[in-house]
Amino acid sequence: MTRVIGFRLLAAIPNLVGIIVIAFIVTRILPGDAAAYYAGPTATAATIEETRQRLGLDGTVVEQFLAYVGQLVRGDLGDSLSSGQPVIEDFARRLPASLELTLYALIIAIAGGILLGVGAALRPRGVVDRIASVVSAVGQAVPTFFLGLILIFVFYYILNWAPEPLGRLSFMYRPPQPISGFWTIDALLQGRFDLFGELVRQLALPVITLAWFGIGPIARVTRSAMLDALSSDFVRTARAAGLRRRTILWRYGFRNAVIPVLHTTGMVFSFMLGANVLVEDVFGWPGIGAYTVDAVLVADYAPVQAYILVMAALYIVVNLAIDVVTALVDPRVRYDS
Amino acid sequence: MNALTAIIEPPPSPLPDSAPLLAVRGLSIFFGGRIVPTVQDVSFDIARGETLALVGESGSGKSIIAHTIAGILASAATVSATTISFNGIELAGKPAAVEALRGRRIGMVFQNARAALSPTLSVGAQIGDVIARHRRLRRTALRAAIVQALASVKIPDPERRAKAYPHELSGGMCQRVMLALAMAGEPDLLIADEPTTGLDNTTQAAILDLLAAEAGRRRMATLFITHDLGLARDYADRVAVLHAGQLVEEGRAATVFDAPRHPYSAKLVRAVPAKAATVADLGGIPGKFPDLSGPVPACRFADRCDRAVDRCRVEVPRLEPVPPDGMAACWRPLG
Repeated sequence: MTRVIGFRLLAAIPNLVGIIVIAFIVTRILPGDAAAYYAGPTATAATIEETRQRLGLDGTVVEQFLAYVGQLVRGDLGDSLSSGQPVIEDFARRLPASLELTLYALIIAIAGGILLGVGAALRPRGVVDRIASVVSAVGQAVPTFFLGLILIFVFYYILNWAPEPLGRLSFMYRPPQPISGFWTIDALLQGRFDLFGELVRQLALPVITLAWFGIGPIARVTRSAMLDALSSDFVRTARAAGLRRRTILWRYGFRNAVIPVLHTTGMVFSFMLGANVLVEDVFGWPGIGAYTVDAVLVADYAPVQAYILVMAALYIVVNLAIDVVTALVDPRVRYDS
Repeated sequence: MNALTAIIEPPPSPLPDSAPLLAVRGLSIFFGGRIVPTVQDVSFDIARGETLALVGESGSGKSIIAHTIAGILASAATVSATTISFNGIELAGKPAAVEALRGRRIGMVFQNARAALSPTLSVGAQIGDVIARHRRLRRTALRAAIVQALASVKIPDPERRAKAYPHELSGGMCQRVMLALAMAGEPDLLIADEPTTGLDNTTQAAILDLLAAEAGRRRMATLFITHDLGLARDYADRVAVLHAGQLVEEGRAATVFDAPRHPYSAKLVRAVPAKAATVADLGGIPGKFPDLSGPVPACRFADRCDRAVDRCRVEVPRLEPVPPDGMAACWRPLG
């Protein structure tokens, strides 16, 4: 198994190389001249040229690319043109915010999707099945940012249950000392339970917004995989053997339905990485999504390239993890790779 | 028999030993709101230690009778029965009573054993689930019981095989595992639903010999469901012949095979290759199964029968004793 994982990680290297090249080319094709932008509105042709040299944008595209790769090899993601900071520092601060949001949303989407899907499979056309259909239909029909706005309108503006949708924590509170970067975990580690509660309140709406779009697909796939598993010969055998209902449902049913669910989870995760950008913008979340959108708007190359690279790496790691779990669950796929 | 299995032996039977272990009377099964029952008014007994073969073509209702007794019939079906009595306990219309017996007093073996075992659990784990459920063994004792269960169905190297997954074993091995799984609760009645379909002849004989030996050793009753009349004759004490959901003949295996009284049984016997001397002797059965979605003749074999008279189409023949020792449901029995 370790060998398979090692092999898969090696096989991911060409993917990453390809992504580095494409990310570089895409950012250069974007409209706008960074040198003209950063030289300012009163710049003359001479000052624009001078800015271009200062920013390292005066060479050919190939020269620029080689310089960029040289940086990457040294572990340097470049400097942000607009903040003047090394991109890696901005990411170190902002990536945990994005990950905290995405992972909680993923957990809720998985738990909610599986429970709805299993419930729907147990009673097709029953109450749970109908709820799953509605959740799924809303998720398909409503754009992410719009659902976020509706939730803000209802739960913040009208009901006033949710705190102001302005980032991870209201300015009234002092954030926890960074340990993991996941503020909820850090708050618990430091015993600041009131702060934890406040963080959860602040997380609730963006997490629900993001999770909503994952619940539908996961519930649908769980439902159909469970219907197949529950009508299978081996579940009939388990019933004939007089096993407990719970054992039959989870150990014989769900264990054999989990693989398509896992693969859907991988898809949902990659979708969430994309949707993150919008949700962070709507909720003022200081993550890398909102940061990258700002960078794109001002032709700030380094953060955009770094974002694409980090997302690709995350995607590869998550899919590898899913493949590993698949192999652990189903012995038939174990030796295929 | 060790001390542990002795503890879970059933209390002494409230009925005399001559009473049937399983008595089914007037069993009818309806599917999906149809008016014509898929299984109509079926009655039979099985005594302790006895093997009853339920034979018939595919679609005759053999398996759904078996599933009904085990209480695992699809919920789309409606069952009505005068009585389904197991060891004196009434099961008809009592799902909880069936559930208490299932896997413990009533074991079940299915066809296509590889599909009937979960692909994502080792065979040892699956047998272990049943043993843990019914004998309340844990850890070392459970592991020992799993290995013993696999050894009892003559699986070589049981310690190693316990860790194998169904896809790593042959069809015959999987069927032995199924048998071990069904036997794990030490049942009084084993329902074997086409247990050897899809296996080659040698493996088939080995599995059925094993089944017969286990049944004999433990005085276990067996309901053996098969479409193969030859197997029924070799392995069953009595045979019940089913046609389109109606029980048409019942009697000692040798009698039904050598001197069938119902025209359908006779045609079924003639269709067994071993019985026919040449291919020309091999008789097909004319006509098709009656379509149960519309009206059917009273005797559902009437349209395929060369002895049928008007009465056959309007009045259902009851199972009546026929000489020498069987029962047939026919207005014009042979012989």
